[in-house]
Amino acid sequence: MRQAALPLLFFCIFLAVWETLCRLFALPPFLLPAPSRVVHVLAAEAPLLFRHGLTTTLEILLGILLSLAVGVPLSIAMFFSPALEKAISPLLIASQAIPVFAAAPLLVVWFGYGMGSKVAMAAVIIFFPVTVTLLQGFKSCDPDMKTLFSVMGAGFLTTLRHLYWPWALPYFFAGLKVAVSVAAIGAVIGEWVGSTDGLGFLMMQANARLRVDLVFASIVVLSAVSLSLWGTVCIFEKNTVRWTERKR
Amino acid sequence: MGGAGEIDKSTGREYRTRDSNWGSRRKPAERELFGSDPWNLIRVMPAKGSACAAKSKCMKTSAPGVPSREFFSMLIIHAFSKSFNGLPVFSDISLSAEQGSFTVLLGPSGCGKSTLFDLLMGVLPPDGGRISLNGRELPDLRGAAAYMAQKDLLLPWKTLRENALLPVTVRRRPTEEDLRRVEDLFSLLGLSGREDFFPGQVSGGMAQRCALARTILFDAPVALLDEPLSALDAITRQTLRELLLLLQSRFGKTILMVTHDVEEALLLADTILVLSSPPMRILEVFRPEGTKNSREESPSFPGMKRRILKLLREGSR
Repeated sequence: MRQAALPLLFFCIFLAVWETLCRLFALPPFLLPAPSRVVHVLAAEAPLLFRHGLTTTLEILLGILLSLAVGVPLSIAMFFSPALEKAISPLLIASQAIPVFAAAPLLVVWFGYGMGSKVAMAAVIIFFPVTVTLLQGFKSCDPDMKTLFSVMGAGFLTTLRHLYWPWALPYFFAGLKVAVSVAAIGAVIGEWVGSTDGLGFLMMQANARLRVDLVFASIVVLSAVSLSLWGTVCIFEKNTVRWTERKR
Repeated sequence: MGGAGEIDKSTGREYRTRDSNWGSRRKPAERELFGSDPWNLIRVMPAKGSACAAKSKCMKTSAPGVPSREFFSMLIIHAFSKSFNGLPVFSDISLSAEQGSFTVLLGPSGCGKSTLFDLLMGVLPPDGGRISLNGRELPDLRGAAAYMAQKDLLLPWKTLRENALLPVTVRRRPTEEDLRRVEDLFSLLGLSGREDFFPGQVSGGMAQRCALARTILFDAPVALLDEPLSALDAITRQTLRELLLLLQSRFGKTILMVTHDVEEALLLADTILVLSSPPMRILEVFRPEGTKNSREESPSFPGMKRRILKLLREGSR
């Protein structure tokens, strides 16, 4: 609690300064709306924000699921076969050099204006940290532990279940935490490029109409979605990876 | 110790199967391996008065209809060699350990003891030579030996019970009987009531005792111990020493242990092989006298200790 107090205090000061400046210089709301106005819009446009927020949240969640469904098996396969890793990992790294924005219109062409292209976009962004951190987790396994399992006559899948996977879990969660924080970027970029629904779509529409206060409100909702996803992963992690806290 | 009989019974059963199957199966294999080329083999026998020898006698009489048990080589290493980047770690190492014996490999650090263990466990392939471990040969050594290391190697996400059961779990679903065995073992090793603790919640000594329980539950006739006591404090080490001897006396394991602690070697071993620094050679073989709990008072003890220390100093040069 005490840890949260200081950042919270600074945030309040920041808001207060912002509010004061807006009122002092009588800035028009289409340039920079005061925090109080954003809060007002949040309340007034709640149903609209909720509807679009739900779409974006769904896109993010499906994107995470998709990237896990591809990333986890791929990571295990690369760990199992060093040859496969050698073949794939340079491509994986190179793929990160492609600007996401460049790929977004293509994805819209391939998957349409609907949810598909946004889910794909989010998955493309998340996929890399999930796969790479998990692989790193597998590789960091204590060689003596591996020897123990090999002496016990355990095969790869048994060892994966009892040793590699639990060992890599903290890494997996680290990757997932990065993933949920950047997943929103993917979904919103997808919506910017072409969509009929979602917070990104709402932002574009509001921006065009100089409703900057609504843009800010959308950003607030988007941040709240990202933060709560991050918090969910943290709680999940705490309940799964308990052993890191048990010290002698 | 109510359940101890269970363990004894199961160990006894193991003995009988070994007698009836391997007694006949192993001999030709041994002949094939060593019959045609006589070589200087160091035989490692259990000490005369040791509990294991006494037990084997009792097994002979108590199991009618079963061929009488005789000692055979549980572990044979023949003309073994291994080198890394052209530098020989050891070449032409040969030794054999009789069933139920306790052999200690004593050498300066970096002499290649751990490499030898890696080869015995089938983790590394040798450049040449043969191993026969309980009648099994390379590359089929997996699961033939139990392994205990300096680190307890307990999985932090599993309870002590689950950790001890691990060698069973990787093969099949643990049964009621397995759980009972763990319970008995834990009471034997002074871990009662800690079954549901996690490794992070117990002391280093307890963790290592749990590792010992796991070593027993491998159900392998050979146990390879890689400096199992090195990471413990002096008092814990003393208790653990006695428990390690149970491996031999109560569970009839053939033990090969690596250590650099001369005193430990003298107190535990039937046979001590003193090794040189690489390329590893067997410098000398010692057979400490007396029963293991009164060895310290034996008149030959200080002399042997001095001699071994001198050898080690010379060997590490």
